[in-house]
Amino acid sequence: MGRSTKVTNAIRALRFAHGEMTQADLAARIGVTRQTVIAIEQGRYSPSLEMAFQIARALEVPLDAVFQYPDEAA
Amino acid sequence: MTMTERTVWATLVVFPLVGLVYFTVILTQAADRPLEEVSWVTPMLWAWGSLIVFIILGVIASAIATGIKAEVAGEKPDFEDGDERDKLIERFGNARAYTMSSLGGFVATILLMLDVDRFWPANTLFLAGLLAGVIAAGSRIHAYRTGL
Repeated sequence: MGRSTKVTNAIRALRFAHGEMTQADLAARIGVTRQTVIAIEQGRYSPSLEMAFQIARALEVPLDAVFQYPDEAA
Repeated sequence: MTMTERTVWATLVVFPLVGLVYFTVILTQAADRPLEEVSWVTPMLWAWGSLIVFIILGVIASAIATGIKAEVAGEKPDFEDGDERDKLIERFGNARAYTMSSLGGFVATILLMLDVDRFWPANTLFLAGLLAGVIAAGSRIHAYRTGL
C-alpha cells in the first residue's frame, strides 16, 4: 500500500545552502515534527500545498525551486 | 519516532494481546462444554476494561519515552497531538478499520436474523472490533514506515 510520491524535492540541498539549517530547525519553522520533514525529504510524504509554501518561504526560495514534478512525456 | 507513532505501536501490541487472552479464556472453557454455555460476558467486560487501561498506559509510556529521548538528544520534547501527516495517516488507518467494523456489524446482524445464541453475534462484534483496531494500527505503522 505504501507508495512513493512522484514529487521530488531539493529540501536537503536547500537546507544546507541556507546556513546549514537542520531538519529540526525547518520543522520548528513550519510547525511539524522532524519526522515529517524527514518523510518529505525522502519522498515518503507529499506535503499539503500550504505546507509546501511554508517550506519554500522558510528556505527563502520559490516553490518550484523546492518541489519538482516529472513531465509525463519524459 | 514521534509520540503519536509510539502510541500507535502500543495499540498494535495491546489489541492482539487482549484478544489472545480473551479467546484463550473462552476456548479453555469450551473444552468441556458447548460454546453457547461458556461464560463470556465477564471475560469480555474484563477484556474491554483491560484494553482501555493498557491503551492509557501505552500513551503514558509513549510520553515518557518521548521525554527521555528528547532529554538524551538535548532537544525539546514534542508532546503535541501530531501534525498534518499524523492526522492524514490516522484518517487512512481509520478508513481501513471502518471496512472491518462494517463487515463485523453485517455478519452480527445476519446471525441475529438467524436467531442464533447471543454468544455468536456478541463475539463476532468483539472480534471485528479487535481486528479493526489491529488493522487501523497496522495500516498506520505501515504508512509511517513506507509512506503515504
